[in-house]
Amino acid sequence: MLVILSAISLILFALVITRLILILPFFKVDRNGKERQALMENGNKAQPRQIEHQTVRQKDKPLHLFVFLGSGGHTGEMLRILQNYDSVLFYEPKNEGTRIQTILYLGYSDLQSLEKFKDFISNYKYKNNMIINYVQFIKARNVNANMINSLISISKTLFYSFKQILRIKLQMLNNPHLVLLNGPGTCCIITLWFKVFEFFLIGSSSNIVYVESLARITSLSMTGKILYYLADKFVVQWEDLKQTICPRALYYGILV
Amino acid sequence: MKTAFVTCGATAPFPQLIDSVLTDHVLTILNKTWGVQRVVIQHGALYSETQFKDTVSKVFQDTQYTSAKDNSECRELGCPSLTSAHVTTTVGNSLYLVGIAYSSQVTTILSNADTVVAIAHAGTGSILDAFGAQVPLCVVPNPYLQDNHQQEIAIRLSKMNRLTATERPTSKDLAVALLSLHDHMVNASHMTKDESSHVIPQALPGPAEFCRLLAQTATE
Repeated sequence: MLVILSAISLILFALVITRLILILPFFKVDRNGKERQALMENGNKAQPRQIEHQTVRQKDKPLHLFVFLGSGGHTGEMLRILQNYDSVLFYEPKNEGTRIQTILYLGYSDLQSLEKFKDFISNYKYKNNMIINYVQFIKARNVNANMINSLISISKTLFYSFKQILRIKLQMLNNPHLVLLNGPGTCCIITLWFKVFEFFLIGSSSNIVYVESLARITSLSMTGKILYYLADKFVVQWEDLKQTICPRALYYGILV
Repeated sequence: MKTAFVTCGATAPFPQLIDSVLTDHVLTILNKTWGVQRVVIQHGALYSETQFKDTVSKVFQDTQYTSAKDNSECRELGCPSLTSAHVTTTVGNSLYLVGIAYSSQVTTILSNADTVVAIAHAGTGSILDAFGAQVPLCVVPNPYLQDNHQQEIAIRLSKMNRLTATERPTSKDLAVALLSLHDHMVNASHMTKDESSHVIPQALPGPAEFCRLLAQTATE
């Protein structure tokens, strides 16, 4: 009996480890990154290549995009990312047909960010090509909050965001999808749930891109330190970071 | 009216920045050197109107305040209400001070040709807003935040000549920074457009390769 039990638990353990290896970022070989680096090392200034949209929308399916607006500076940087990279996140339909191109899940935790977003979207050139679902999260940690208050708010966020993320994850299944995060603390919980669901839904992917704040030059933020081990693509905006503390990170210059 | 815009960020309070601006010395420099007649201060919701009045009154006794709601100036500044006062510095420079809790039109105010200088905490949101509007920027890093991370970016960007940063949040440091920023701008005005592009703040370009990363990551 004992032998059988231990054998089963051993097999389970092995399965869990294999699954973790499959979903966590350290073991993934980043071919594009290497190619790009080789290009840079050759001294060629990498030419901005035409992006092949076909690679994203193979079956003319809309992109499911989750974006989290942190607060203050995080929100500011994220809105700039949406602005600067609109051609790939939201692009115009080829003909005049009003196909919805992007289904945007907009996560936020403070009303000021929501207001800023609504202000931003009202002048946005692709506003008619997307459906926006607003998802409110509870802030996981306030700036300079103490330990006990942080613990309470973190568990609250964990509890309430479970269902929200699960619903989004199910919508994303079998559709092109992207999760774009740039902090602060609430992003860790969002990532955690996405990764937990990825663990159980075999064959799915999370496609989480985390962009560390422009303010971080020589050290990572708390969120960055955690997401370095969880996010699928970890992007920094200063080369110093990549050279010193997070060699696995991707660096393309300042993005915001 | 030539304007200086002051902002201390929405997330964490930073009263030291407002205290440093609202001093005889700094206001004199703003008026005399920069030609500023109006100083608009976005003090955030965490810094009350009363606090704002107290700070002004400490420096300029017997100041008369006007509160306004929904008038044309409120609409211009994108805020529901404001507190304003006329003050005169000890050397006789008169300025019009406006305190607002929060503006939804920061980029519009900064882009206005009348806005000649911006003074901000070293948060990336404020820095990027000023870069986008190409307005001369002086930052005061808030040293009370996690890892003092504002200091780091302030030093780095000031080395790249994109802004001027103070070392500490004091009026003395701010005065020095505002004077050196002004010298900088005067020097830049004698340069060709190409040379001055390194001095005058401008939007930082976003690389196309990040686009590729996004496109390749967004799979099923």
